Amino acid sequence: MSAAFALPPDDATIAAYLSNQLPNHQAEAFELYCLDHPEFSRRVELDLCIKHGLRRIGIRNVIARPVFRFPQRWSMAASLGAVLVCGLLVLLWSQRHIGLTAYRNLSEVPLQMRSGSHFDVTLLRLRGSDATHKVVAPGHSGLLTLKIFPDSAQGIQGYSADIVLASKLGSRSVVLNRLRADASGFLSLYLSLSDVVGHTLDITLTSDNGSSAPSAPAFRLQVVAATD
Amino acid sequence: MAQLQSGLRLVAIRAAGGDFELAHDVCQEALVIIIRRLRTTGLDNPATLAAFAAQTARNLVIAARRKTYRQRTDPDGDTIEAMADPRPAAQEQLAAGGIAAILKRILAELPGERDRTILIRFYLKEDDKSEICRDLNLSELGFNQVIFRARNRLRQLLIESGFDKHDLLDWESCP
Repeated sequence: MSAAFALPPDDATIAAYLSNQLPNHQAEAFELYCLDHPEFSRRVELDLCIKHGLRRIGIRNVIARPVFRFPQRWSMAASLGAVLVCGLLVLLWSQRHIGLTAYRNLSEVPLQMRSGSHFDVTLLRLRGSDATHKVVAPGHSGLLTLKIFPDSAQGIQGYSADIVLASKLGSRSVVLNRLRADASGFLSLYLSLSDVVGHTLDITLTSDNGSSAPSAPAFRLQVVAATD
Repeated sequence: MAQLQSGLRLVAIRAAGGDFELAHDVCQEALVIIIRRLRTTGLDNPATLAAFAAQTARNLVIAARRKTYRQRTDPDGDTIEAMADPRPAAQEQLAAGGIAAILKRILAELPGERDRTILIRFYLKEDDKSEICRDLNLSELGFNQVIFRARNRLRQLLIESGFDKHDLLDWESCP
């Protein structure tokens, strides 16, 4: 026969007894303590009562699905709203910072941009070539002049240039109408370097009267800065 | 003698492998044997009363098991099925109006989902106390308070429901 515990068994021992995990000699000692201490024994009985009662009513009945109470629902909605607003702000900010302005002639270009560094790129379309042209600009600010040689087209009075700027944050496009070729047959477009550096430009020419230019000249430029 | 009852029930329940009905019968029988012994030859050392009571209960469980084994017969399933008691099973009765109902009430009364989780994890899933405290970011004191309140509320409701304080586990007499 085991000797009873000298001190009241601790919570861990009670839990072990209730789950029948005590070695036999310890369980007998525990029971002797219970027989000698009726109040303690009743406490253990209550625990046993709860344990078996919960088993009997079944866990499916006991564990209710989490209920979203009003404050929880409200806080969740508020959090979701905050996330949406932040996302919208980021989107707006990024859209605002993807600027794209193009000019038909130098006189339209703002003075501040004109006073910066100038960078000229001449694009001659090679038939069958649709490669991306990588151009290295001297810096992030200044003026980019694009001279484009359209396919020779008889009877075309003017061109429209559809310029699309693509970046990781989105895209912007601008259309320049009534572009006239100069004496040497080149069309000129003026762009801000700060708008295009680090992005890709797609430029497509169409005739002003709506029909495509004879072979729909298109160019793709990837503009990077020499300082990057 | 009343002081022995609670401990004796625990002894009997464990010896009977959780068979509360057998434990209840054994407990009653053990009390009768102990009273007779004390009124006749008595115990050489009164300090061994607890040990004597425990061993008596265990011996009675063993005897009951042997008796059941001797009387074991092959059941006639069809006949038993035909004679099935139309009343709800004892377990269902218990769930309908006994301890189970009281526990449901206690669970419903708990102030928060966290307290319910504590009870279920501690008593039903037998999770370790420290693990529960860690998972729920709860101090040991907070944990003990939840258990303490639940235990006391159960005691109160059991007594209100007509249970004598000595009959806590006499579930068959649930109101």
